[in-house]
Amino acid sequence: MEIKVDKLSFDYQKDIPIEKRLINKLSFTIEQDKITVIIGKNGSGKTTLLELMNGLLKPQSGKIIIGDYVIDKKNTVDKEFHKKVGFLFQFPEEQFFHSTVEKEIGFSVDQFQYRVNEKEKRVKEALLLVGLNDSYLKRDPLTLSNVEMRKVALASILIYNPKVLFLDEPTVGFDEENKKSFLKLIKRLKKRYHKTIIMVSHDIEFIHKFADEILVLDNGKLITQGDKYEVFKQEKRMKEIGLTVPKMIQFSNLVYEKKGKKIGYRDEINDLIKDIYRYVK
Amino acid sequence: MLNKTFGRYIGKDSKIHLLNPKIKIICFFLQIVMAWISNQIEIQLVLLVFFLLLILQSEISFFLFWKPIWKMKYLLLGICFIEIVTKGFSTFLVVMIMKVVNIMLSSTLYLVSTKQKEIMIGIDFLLSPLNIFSIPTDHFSFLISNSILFLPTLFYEFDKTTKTLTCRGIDYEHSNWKEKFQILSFIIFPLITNVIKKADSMSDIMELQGFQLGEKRTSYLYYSFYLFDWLYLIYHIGFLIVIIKGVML
Repeated sequence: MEIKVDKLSFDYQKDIPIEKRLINKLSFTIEQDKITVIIGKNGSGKTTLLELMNGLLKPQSGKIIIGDYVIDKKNTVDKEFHKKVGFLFQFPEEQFFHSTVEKEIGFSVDQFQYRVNEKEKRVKEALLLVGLNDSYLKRDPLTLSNVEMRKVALASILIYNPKVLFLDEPTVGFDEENKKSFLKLIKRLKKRYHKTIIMVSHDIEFIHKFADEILVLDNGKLITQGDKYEVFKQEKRMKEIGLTVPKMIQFSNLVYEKKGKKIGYRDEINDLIKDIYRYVK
Repeated sequence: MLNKTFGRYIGKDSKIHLLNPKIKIICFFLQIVMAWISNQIEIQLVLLVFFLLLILQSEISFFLFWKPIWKMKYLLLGICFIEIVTKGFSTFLVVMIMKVVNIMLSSTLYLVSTKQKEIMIGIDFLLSPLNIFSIPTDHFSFLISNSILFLPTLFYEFDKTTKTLTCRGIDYEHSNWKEKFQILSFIIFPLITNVIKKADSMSDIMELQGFQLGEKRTSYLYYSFYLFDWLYLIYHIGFLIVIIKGVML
Protein backbone atom coordinates (compact mmCIF):
# COMPACT_ATOMS: atom_id res chain seq x y z
CA MET A 1 0.00 0.00 0.00
CA GLU A 2 1.33 3.40 -0.96
CA ILE A 3 1.17 6.18 1.63
CA LYS A 4 0.63 9.80 0.67
CA VAL A 5 0.95 12.62 3.14
CA ASP A 6 -0.28 16.01 2.00
CA LYS A 7 0.37 19.29 3.86
CA LEU A 8 -0.02 17.55 7.20
CA SER A 9 0.05 19.74 10.31
CA PHE A 10 -0.46 18.82 13.93
CA ASP A 11 0.25 20.36 17.30
CA TYR A 12 -0.88 18.96 20.60
CA GLN A 13 -2.64 21.98 22.01
CA LYS A 14 -2.62 25.60 21.19
CA ASP A 15 -2.02 28.28 23.79
CA ILE A 16 -0.66 26.13 26.56
CA PRO A 17 2.82 26.93 27.88
CA ILE A 18 4.41 23.80 26.47
CA GLU A 19 2.83 24.27 23.07
CA LYS A 20 4.95 23.13 20.20
CA ARG A 21 3.97 22.68 16.60
CA LEU A 22 5.12 19.14 16.14
CA ILE A 23 4.23 18.48 12.54
CA ASN A 24 4.42 21.39 10.18
CA LYS A 25 2.96 21.13 6.65
CA LEU A 26 4.57 17.79 5.82
CA SER A 27 4.17 16.39 2.32
CA PHE A 28 5.76 13.19 1.06
CA THR A 29 5.01 9.82 -0.50
CA ILE A 30 6.10 6.42 0.77
CA GLU A 31 6.28 3.75 -1.92
CA GLN A 32 4.91 0.29 -1.30
CA ASP A 33 7.11 -2.78 -0.65
CA LYS A 34 9.95 -0.59 0.54
CA ILE A 35 11.62 0.00 3.88
CA THR A 36 11.41 3.67 4.76
CA VAL A 37 13.18 4.95 7.84
CA ILE A 38 12.25 8.22 9.53
CA ILE A 39 15.18 9.87 11.29
CA GLY A 40 15.51 13.05 13.31
CA LYS A 41 16.57 14.35 16.69
CA ASN A 42 14.50 13.74 19.83
CA GLY A 43 11.32 15.81 19.69
CA SER A 44 11.40 16.23 15.92
CA GLY A 45 7.94 14.66 15.61
CA LYS A 46 8.75 11.13 14.46
CA THR A 47 6.50 9.22 16.86
CA THR A 48 3.70 11.77 16.43
CA LEU A 49 3.92 11.28 12.67
CA LEU A 50 3.60 7.49 13.10
CA GLU A 51 0.58 7.95 15.38
CA LEU A 52 -1.01 10.28 12.81
CA MET A 53 -0.42 7.78 10.01
CA ASN A 54 -2.12 5.12 12.16
CA GLY A 55 -5.19 7.25 12.76
CA LEU A 56 -4.48 7.44 16.50
CA LEU A 57 -4.28 11.24 16.33
CA LYS A 58 -6.37 13.53 14.17
CA PRO A 59 -4.53 15.97 11.93
CA GLN A 60 -5.41 19.64 12.37
CA SER A 61 -4.89 20.24 8.68
CA GLY A 62 -3.80 18.27 5.65
CA LYS A 63 -4.44 14.59 4.99
CA ILE A 64 -2.91 11.14 4.87
CA ILE A 65 -3.96 8.63 2.22
CA ILE A 66 -3.22 4.96 2.93
CA GLY A 67 -4.73 2.65 0.34
CA ASP A 68 -8.45 3.45 0.25
CA TYR A 69 -8.36 5.29 3.56
CA VAL A 70 -8.18 9.04 3.96
CA ILE A 71 -7.23 10.39 7.39
CA ASP A 72 -7.94 14.07 7.84
CA LYS A 73 -9.70 16.48 10.20
CA LYS A 74 -13.10 14.94 9.44
CA ASN A 75 -12.39 11.32 8.46
CA THR A 76 -11.18 8.79 10.91
CA VAL A 77 -10.20 5.12 10.53
CA ASP A 78 -12.04 1.94 11.50
CA LYS A 79 -11.22 -1.55 12.68
CA GLU A 80 -10.66 -2.78 9.11
CA PHE A 81 -7.91 -0.18 8.72
CA HIS A 82 -6.04 -1.49 11.78
CA LYS A 83 -6.26 -4.97 10.29
CA LYS A 84 -4.26 -3.76 7.30
CA VAL A 85 -1.85 -1.55 9.20
CA GLY A 86 0.24 -2.84 12.13
CA PHE A 87 1.96 -0.58 14.63
CA LEU A 88 4.71 -1.72 16.98
CA PHE A 89 4.99 0.92 19.69
CA GLN A 90 8.17 1.85 21.47
CA PHE A 91 8.67 -0.63 24.35
CA PRO A 92 5.58 -2.68 23.34
CA GLU A 93 6.42 -5.25 26.03
CA GLU A 94 5.04 -2.79 28.60
CA GLN A 95 1.56 -3.38 27.20
CA PHE A 96 1.27 -7.12 27.80
CA PHE A 97 -1.83 -8.18 29.70
CA HIS A 98 -2.22 -11.91 29.11
CA SER A 99 -0.73 -14.67 31.21
CA THR A 100 0.78 -16.70 28.36
CA VAL A 101 2.60 -15.91 25.12
CA GLU A 102 -0.01 -17.92 23.22
CA LYS A 103 -2.90 -15.80 24.52
CA GLU A 104 -0.97 -12.56 24.03
CA ILE A 105 -0.22 -13.31 20.38
CA GLY A 106 -3.67 -14.76 19.71
CA PHE A 107 -5.49 -11.72 21.10
CA SER A 108 -5.82 -9.95 17.74
CA VAL A 109 -7.16 -13.09 16.05
CA ASP A 110 -10.26 -12.80 18.25
CA GLN A 111 -10.53 -9.04 17.79
CA PHE A 112 -10.28 -9.13 14.02
CA GLN A 113 -12.64 -12.12 13.94
CA TYR A 114 -10.52 -14.61 12.11
CA ARG A 115 -11.61 -18.23 12.19
CA VAL A 116 -11.03 -19.67 15.65
CA ASN A 117 -9.72 -23.00 14.28
CA GLU A 118 -6.99 -21.06 12.48
CA LYS A 119 -5.85 -19.40 15.69
CA GLU A 120 -3.45 -22.08 16.94
CA LYS A 121 -1.81 -22.42 13.53
CA ARG A 122 -1.47 -18.67 13.12
CA VAL A 123 0.07 -18.22 16.59
CA LYS A 124 2.70 -20.87 15.87
CA GLU A 125 3.51 -19.39 12.47
CA ALA A 126 3.86 -15.87 13.86
CA LEU A 127 6.09 -17.10 16.66
CA LEU A 128 8.28 -19.01 14.22
CA LEU A 129 8.51 -15.99 11.95
CA VAL A 130 10.10 -13.90 14.71
CA GLY A 131 12.54 -16.71 15.53
CA LEU A 132 10.93 -18.25 18.61
CA ASN A 133 9.82 -21.87 18.90
CA ASP A 134 6.74 -23.61 20.34
CA SER A 135 8.31 -23.92 23.80
CA TYR A 136 7.48 -20.26 24.40
CA LEU A 137 3.73 -20.73 23.92
CA LYS A 138 2.84 -21.49 27.53
CA ARG A 139 5.36 -19.10 29.11
CA ASP A 140 4.41 -15.91 30.90
CA PRO A 141 5.42 -13.02 28.58
CA LEU A 142 6.62 -10.94 31.54
CA THR A 143 9.26 -13.55 32.43
CA LEU A 144 10.97 -13.37 29.03
CA SER A 145 14.07 -11.33 28.25
CA ASN A 146 13.60 -7.86 26.74
CA VAL A 147 14.50 -9.07 23.25
CA GLU A 148 12.15 -12.05 23.47
CA MET A 149 9.34 -9.79 24.73
CA ARG A 150 9.89 -7.46 21.79
CA LYS A 151 9.72 -10.45 19.44
CA VAL A 152 6.47 -11.62 21.03
CA ALA A 153 5.04 -8.11 20.61
CA LEU A 154 6.03 -8.17 16.94
CA ALA A 155 4.51 -11.65 16.51
CA SER A 156 1.24 -10.37 17.98
CA ILE A 157 1.12 -7.87 15.11
CA LEU A 158 2.35 -10.18 12.35
CA ILE A 159 -0.37 -12.70 13.24
CA TYR A 160 -3.04 -10.63 11.49
CA ASN A 161 -0.81 -10.17 8.46
CA PRO A 162 -0.94 -6.37 7.98
CA LYS A 163 0.23 -5.00 4.65
CA VAL A 164 1.92 -2.00 6.22
CA LEU A 165 4.11 -2.16 9.31
CA PHE A 166 4.99 0.83 11.45
CA LEU A 167 7.83 0.22 13.87
CA ASP A 168 8.78 2.80 16.48
CA GLU A 169 12.40 2.27 17.49
CA PRO A 170 12.13 -1.52 17.54
CA THR A 171 15.79 -2.25 18.31
CA VAL A 172 16.26 -0.04 21.38
CA GLY A 173 18.23 -2.07 23.94
CA PHE A 174 19.25 -4.80 21.46
CA ASP A 175 22.83 -6.07 21.30
CA GLU A 176 24.61 -6.48 17.95
CA GLU A 177 23.62 -10.11 17.51
CA ASN A 178 19.96 -9.43 18.15
CA LYS A 179 20.09 -6.43 15.85
CA LYS A 180 21.42 -8.69 13.10
CA SER A 181 18.65 -11.24 13.59
CA PHE A 182 16.09 -8.43 13.61
CA LEU A 183 17.62 -7.07 10.41
CA LYS A 184 17.19 -10.47 8.76
CA LEU A 185 13.58 -10.58 9.86
CA ILE A 186 12.85 -7.11 8.47
CA LYS A 187 14.46 -7.99 5.14
CA ARG A 188 12.47 -11.24 4.99
CA LEU A 189 9.23 -9.43 5.71
CA LYS A 190 9.92 -7.11 2.80
CA LYS A 191 11.17 -9.65 0.26
CA ARG A 192 9.03 -12.68 0.98
CA TYR A 193 5.89 -11.14 2.39
CA HIS A 194 5.96 -7.83 0.45
CA LYS A 195 5.34 -5.63 3.46
CA THR A 196 5.66 -1.88 3.33
CA ILE A 197 7.74 -1.03 6.38
CA ILE A 198 8.01 2.41 7.96
CA MET A 199 10.38 2.61 10.85
CA VAL A 200 11.68 5.20 13.28
CA SER A 201 15.25 4.72 14.45
CA HIS A 202 18.19 6.64 15.87
CA ASP A 203 20.72 3.93 15.05
CA ILE A 204 22.24 5.33 11.88
CA GLU A 205 24.76 2.46 11.37
CA PHE A 206 21.89 -0.02 11.61
CA ILE A 207 19.61 1.95 9.28
CA HIS A 208 22.35 2.07 6.66
CA LYS A 209 22.22 -1.70 6.25
CA PHE A 210 18.61 -2.10 5.27
CA ALA A 211 16.80 1.16 4.52
CA ASP A 212 15.61 1.80 0.99
CA GLU A 213 14.38 5.32 1.59
CA ILE A 214 15.14 7.81 4.34
CA LEU A 215 13.00 10.67 5.54
CA VAL A 216 14.70 13.34 7.66
CA LEU A 217 12.62 15.39 10.09
CA ASP A 218 13.64 18.41 12.11
CA ASN A 219 11.23 20.35 14.33
CA GLY A 220 8.27 18.77 12.53
CA LYS A 221 9.50 19.81 9.11
CA LEU A 222 10.69 17.59 6.31
CA ILE A 223 14.36 18.34 5.67
CA THR A 224 14.99 15.81 2.95
CA GLN A 225 13.65 12.53 1.58
CA GLY A 226 15.02 10.03 -0.88
CA ASP A 227 17.23 7.06 -1.52
CA LYS A 228 19.52 6.45 1.49
CA TYR A 229 22.66 7.34 -0.46
CA GLU A 230 21.13 10.57 -1.73
CA VAL A 231 20.35 11.51 1.86
CA PHE A 232 23.72 10.43 3.27
CA LYS A 233 25.47 12.39 0.53
CA GLN A 234 24.28 15.55 2.27
CA GLU A 235 26.64 15.08 5.22
CA LYS A 236 27.00 18.79 6.00
CA ARG A 237 23.25 19.37 5.99
CA MET A 238 22.76 16.41 8.28
CA LYS A 239 25.37 17.75 10.70
CA GLU A 240 23.63 21.13 10.74
CA ILE A 241 20.52 19.51 12.21
CA GLY A 242 22.51 17.42 14.68
CA LEU A 243 22.54 14.10 12.79
CA THR A 244 25.47 12.04 11.55
CA VAL A 245 25.92 9.76 8.57
CA PRO A 246 27.28 6.18 8.80
CA LYS A 247 31.04 5.79 9.29
CA MET A 248 31.49 4.04 5.92
CA ILE A 249 29.77 6.91 4.12
CA GLN A 250 31.89 9.41 6.07
CA PHE A 251 35.01 7.54 4.91
CA SER A 252 33.94 7.58 1.25
CA ASN A 253 33.10 11.29 1.49
CA LEU A 254 36.48 12.01 3.07
CA VAL A 255 38.36 10.14 0.33
CA TYR A 256 36.49 12.12 -2.30
CA GLU A 257 37.14 15.39 -0.48
CA LYS A 258 40.89 14.82 0.08
CA LYS A 259 41.88 12.78 -2.97
CA GLY A 260 39.12 13.56 -5.44
CA LYS A 261 38.50 9.85 -5.95
CA LYS A 262 35.03 8.32 -5.83
CA ILE A 263 35.10 4.91 -4.19
CA GLY A 264 31.33 4.60 -3.99
CA TYR A 265 28.96 3.96 -1.10
CA ARG A 266 28.68 0.46 0.29
CA ASP A 267 26.37 -1.25 2.76
CA GLU A 268 28.85 -3.87 3.95
CA ILE A 269 32.35 -3.22 5.28
CA ASN A 270 33.81 -6.13 3.20
CA ASP A 271 32.65 -4.51 -0.03
CA LEU A 272 34.27 -1.24 1.03
CA ILE A 273 37.56 -3.01 1.81
CA LYS A 274 37.51 -4.59 -1.68
CA ASP A 275 36.99 -1.14 -3.19
CA ILE A 276 39.88 0.30 -1.21
CA TYR A 277 42.10 -2.62 -2.26
CA ARG A 278 41.23 -2.03 -5.91
CA TYR A 279 41.92 1.68 -5.47
CA VAL A 280 45.32 1.14 -3.80
CA LYS A 281 46.30 -1.48 -6.37
CA MET B 1 -0.58 16.70 25.63
CA LEU B 2 -3.37 17.58 28.00
CA ASN B 3 -2.87 14.22 29.62
CA LYS B 4 0.78 15.01 30.09
CA THR B 5 0.14 18.49 31.48
CA PHE B 6 -2.88 17.84 33.68
CA GLY B 7 -1.82 18.09 37.30
CA ARG B 8 1.72 18.98 36.34
CA TYR B 9 3.43 22.07 37.68
CA ILE B 10 3.77 24.87 35.14
CA GLY B 11 6.48 27.25 36.23
CA LYS B 12 5.76 30.99 36.10
CA ASP B 13 6.81 33.98 38.18
CA SER B 14 3.27 35.06 39.01
CA LYS B 15 2.07 36.12 42.47
CA ILE B 16 -0.03 32.94 42.68
CA HIS B 17 3.07 30.82 42.07
CA LEU B 18 5.09 32.72 44.67
CA LEU B 19 2.51 32.43 47.46
CA ASN B 20 3.64 30.84 50.70
CA PRO B 21 2.74 27.11 50.42
CA LYS B 22 1.12 27.08 53.87
CA ILE B 23 -1.13 30.04 53.07
CA LYS B 24 -1.79 28.61 49.62
CA ILE B 25 -3.08 25.26 50.85
CA ILE B 26 -5.29 26.89 53.51
CA CYS B 27 -6.78 29.21 50.87
CA PHE B 28 -7.24 26.28 48.50
CA PHE B 29 -9.34 24.45 51.09
CA LEU B 30 -11.25 27.65 51.83
CA GLN B 31 -12.01 27.97 48.11
CA ILE B 32 -13.37 24.41 48.02
CA VAL B 33 -15.50 25.07 51.12
CA MET B 34 -16.80 28.34 49.61
CA ALA B 35 -17.73 26.67 46.34
CA TRP B 36 -19.33 23.73 48.12
CA ILE B 37 -21.49 25.43 50.77
CA SER B 38 -23.07 28.26 48.79
CA ASN B 39 -26.31 27.40 47.04
CA GLN B 40 -26.98 30.77 45.44
CA ILE B 41 -26.31 31.44 41.78
CA GLU B 42 -25.09 34.97 42.53
CA ILE B 43 -22.38 33.73 44.91
CA GLN B 44 -21.32 30.97 42.51
CA LEU B 45 -21.04 33.59 39.76
CA VAL B 46 -18.92 35.83 41.99
CA LEU B 47 -16.73 32.82 42.80
CA LEU B 48 -16.40 32.01 39.10
CA VAL B 49 -15.27 35.55 38.36
CA PHE B 50 -12.90 35.37 41.35
CA PHE B 51 -11.30 32.13 40.09
CA LEU B 52 -11.03 33.55 36.59
CA LEU B 53 -9.19 36.56 38.00
CA LEU B 54 -6.85 34.26 39.91
CA ILE B 55 -6.18 32.27 36.72
CA LEU B 56 -5.46 35.53 34.91
CA GLN B 57 -3.08 36.50 37.69
CA SER B 58 -1.33 33.10 37.46
CA GLU B 59 -0.34 33.84 33.82
CA ILE B 60 -1.31 30.27 32.82
CA SER B 61 -3.40 29.82 29.68
CA PHE B 62 -7.12 29.42 30.38
CA PHE B 63 -7.23 26.63 27.79
CA LEU B 64 -5.51 24.32 30.25
CA PHE B 65 -8.33 24.87 32.74
CA TRP B 66 -11.14 24.68 30.20
CA LYS B 67 -10.16 21.35 28.66
CA PRO B 68 -10.79 19.12 31.73
CA ILE B 69 -14.17 20.81 32.23
CA TRP B 70 -15.04 20.27 28.57
CA LYS B 71 -14.08 16.61 28.87
CA MET B 72 -16.64 16.26 31.66
CA LYS B 73 -19.47 17.60 29.49
CA TYR B 74 -21.21 14.24 29.14
CA LEU B 75 -21.13 13.65 32.89
CA LEU B 76 -22.58 17.13 33.50
CA LEU B 77 -25.19 16.64 30.79
CA GLY B 78 -26.08 13.27 32.32
CA ILE B 79 -26.62 14.88 35.74
CA CYS B 80 -28.76 17.60 34.12
CA PHE B 81 -30.84 15.00 32.29
CA ILE B 82 -31.51 12.95 35.43
CA GLU B 83 -32.36 16.07 37.44
CA ILE B 84 -34.69 17.47 34.76
CA VAL B 85 -36.49 14.13 34.31
CA THR B 86 -36.95 13.51 38.02
CA LYS B 87 -37.44 17.02 39.43
CA GLY B 88 -37.82 19.33 36.45
CA PHE B 89 -35.62 22.32 35.72
CA SER B 90 -34.52 24.27 38.79
CA THR B 91 -31.87 26.79 39.79
CA PHE B 92 -30.38 24.07 42.00
CA LEU B 93 -29.23 22.31 38.84
CA VAL B 94 -27.36 25.40 37.62
CA VAL B 95 -25.80 25.83 41.07
CA MET B 96 -24.64 22.19 41.09
CA ILE B 97 -22.93 22.54 37.71
CA MET B 98 -21.33 25.81 38.75
CA LYS B 99 -20.08 24.16 41.93
CA VAL B 100 -18.37 21.41 39.92
CA VAL B 101 -16.84 23.95 37.51
CA ASN B 102 -15.61 26.20 40.33
CA ILE B 103 -14.07 23.31 42.28
CA MET B 104 -12.34 22.05 39.16
CA LEU B 105 -10.96 25.51 38.38
CA SER B 106 -9.70 25.95 41.92
CA SER B 107 -8.05 22.54 42.20
CA THR B 108 -6.45 22.75 38.74
CA LEU B 109 -5.07 26.18 39.60
CA TYR B 110 -3.58 24.83 42.82
CA LEU B 111 -1.99 21.82 41.11
CA VAL B 112 -0.49 23.64 38.14
CA SER B 113 0.87 26.55 40.17
CA THR B 114 2.36 24.61 43.10
CA LYS B 115 5.57 22.59 43.09
CA GLN B 116 5.44 19.06 44.49
CA LYS B 117 7.72 20.07 47.35
CA GLU B 118 5.41 22.99 48.18
CA ILE B 119 2.36 20.70 48.17
CA MET B 120 4.22 18.45 50.58
CA ILE B 121 5.07 21.39 52.87
CA GLY B 122 1.44 22.55 52.74
CA ILE B 123 -0.02 19.13 53.55
CA ASP B 124 2.56 18.64 56.29
CA PHE B 125 1.52 21.97 57.80
CA LEU B 126 -2.18 21.09 57.66
CA LEU B 127 -1.57 17.71 59.30
CA SER B 128 0.89 19.06 61.89
CA PRO B 129 -1.69 19.13 64.77
CA LEU B 130 -1.78 15.31 64.50
CA ASN B 131 1.87 15.22 65.58
CA ILE B 132 0.65 15.50 69.18
CA PHE B 133 -0.73 11.95 68.80
CA SER B 134 2.63 10.74 67.38
CA ILE B 135 1.15 10.23 63.91
CA PRO B 136 3.90 10.38 61.23
CA THR B 137 2.39 13.27 59.26
CA ASP B 138 5.50 13.66 57.08
CA HIS B 139 4.86 10.15 55.72
CA PHE B 140 1.27 11.08 54.81
CA SER B 141 2.22 14.36 53.18
CA PHE B 142 4.97 12.61 51.20
CA LEU B 143 2.50 9.95 50.05
CA ILE B 144 -0.15 12.45 49.00
CA SER B 145 2.23 14.76 47.15
CA ASN B 146 3.78 11.80 45.33
CA SER B 147 0.35 10.51 44.34
CA ILE B 148 -0.34 13.89 42.74
CA LEU B 149 3.01 13.71 41.00
CA PHE B 150 1.97 10.41 39.45
CA LEU B 151 -1.27 11.74 37.94
CA PRO B 152 0.32 12.68 34.60
CA THR B 153 2.12 9.30 34.51
CA LEU B 154 -1.20 7.53 34.94
CA PHE B 155 -2.77 9.55 32.12
CA TYR B 156 0.23 8.91 29.89
CA GLU B 157 0.17 5.16 30.50
CA PHE B 158 -3.59 5.05 29.96
CA ASP B 159 -3.21 6.87 26.64
CA LYS B 160 -0.44 4.53 25.49
CA THR B 161 -2.34 1.37 26.45
CA THR B 162 -5.57 2.47 24.76
CA LYS B 163 -3.67 3.33 21.57
CA THR B 164 -1.97 -0.08 21.56
CA LEU B 165 -5.31 -1.82 22.01
CA THR B 166 -6.87 0.22 19.19
CA CYS B 167 -4.10 -0.96 16.87
CA ARG B 168 -4.73 -4.56 17.95
CA GLY B 169 -8.38 -4.42 16.95
CA ILE B 170 -10.24 -3.06 19.98
CA ASP B 171 -13.13 -0.84 18.93
CA TYR B 172 -14.24 1.25 21.92
CA GLU B 173 -16.95 3.19 20.13
CA HIS B 174 -18.86 0.17 18.85
CA SER B 175 -18.50 -2.03 21.93
CA ASN B 176 -21.39 -2.77 24.26
CA TRP B 177 -21.17 -2.28 28.03
CA LYS B 178 -20.11 -5.87 28.68
CA GLU B 179 -17.28 -5.58 26.16
CA LYS B 180 -16.28 -2.19 27.53
CA PHE B 181 -15.97 -3.70 30.98
CA GLN B 182 -13.74 -6.43 29.54
CA ILE B 183 -11.60 -3.84 27.74
CA LEU B 184 -11.12 -2.07 31.06
CA SER B 185 -9.41 -5.18 32.41
CA PHE B 186 -7.00 -5.13 29.43
CA ILE B 187 -6.12 -1.54 30.31
CA ILE B 188 -5.84 -1.81 34.07
CA PHE B 189 -3.28 -4.62 34.20
CA PRO B 190 -0.50 -2.92 32.14
CA LEU B 191 -1.43 0.43 33.69
CA ILE B 192 -0.88 -0.74 37.25
CA THR B 193 2.21 -2.79 36.34
CA ASN B 194 3.88 0.14 34.63
CA VAL B 195 3.02 2.66 37.35
CA ILE B 196 4.34 0.30 40.06
CA LYS B 197 7.53 -0.22 38.04
CA LYS B 198 7.99 3.54 37.71
CA ALA B 199 7.28 4.14 41.41
CA ASP B 200 9.73 1.39 42.29
CA SER B 201 12.51 2.85 40.16
CA MET B 202 11.76 6.34 41.52
CA SER B 203 12.10 5.14 45.11
CA ASP B 204 15.39 3.37 44.23
CA ILE B 205 16.75 6.56 42.67
CA MET B 206 15.71 8.64 45.69
CA GLU B 207 17.36 6.18 48.08
CA LEU B 208 20.53 6.14 45.99
CA GLN B 209 20.58 9.93 46.19
CA GLY B 210 20.53 9.74 49.98
CA PHE B 211 16.85 10.38 50.64
CA GLN B 212 15.50 9.00 53.89
CA LEU B 213 11.93 9.68 54.93
CA GLY B 214 11.51 11.07 58.42
CA GLU B 215 15.14 12.02 58.82
CA LYS B 216 15.34 15.02 61.15
CA ARG B 217 17.27 17.84 59.59
CA THR B 218 16.90 21.50 58.72
CA SER B 219 14.98 22.02 55.50
CA TYR B 220 16.87 23.80 52.76
CA LEU B 221 13.60 25.40 51.72
CA TYR B 222 12.45 28.43 53.66
CA TYR B 223 9.33 30.34 52.74
CA SER B 224 8.76 33.78 54.24
CA PHE B 225 5.37 35.35 54.74
CA TYR B 226 4.88 38.51 52.72
CA LEU B 227 2.14 41.12 52.80
CA PHE B 228 0.48 39.61 49.72
CA ASP B 229 0.27 36.22 51.50
CA TRP B 230 -1.59 37.74 54.47
CA LEU B 231 -3.86 39.81 52.22
CA TYR B 232 -4.65 36.69 50.18
CA LEU B 233 -5.56 34.79 53.36
CA ILE B 234 -7.58 37.64 54.87
CA TYR B 235 -9.50 38.06 51.61
CA HIS B 236 -10.38 34.36 51.58
CA ILE B 237 -11.46 34.32 55.23
CA GLY B 238 -13.56 37.46 54.69
CA PHE B 239 -15.15 35.99 51.61
CA LEU B 240 -15.94 32.76 53.48
CA ILE B 241 -17.55 34.70 56.35
CA VAL B 242 -19.76 36.58 53.87
CA ILE B 243 -20.78 33.31 52.23
CA ILE B 244 -21.52 31.61 55.58
CA LYS B 245 -23.66 34.59 56.56
CA GLY B 246 -25.45 34.34 53.21
CA VAL B 247 -26.05 30.61 53.74
CA MET B 248 -27.40 31.15 57.26
CA LEU B 249 -29.78 33.92 56.19
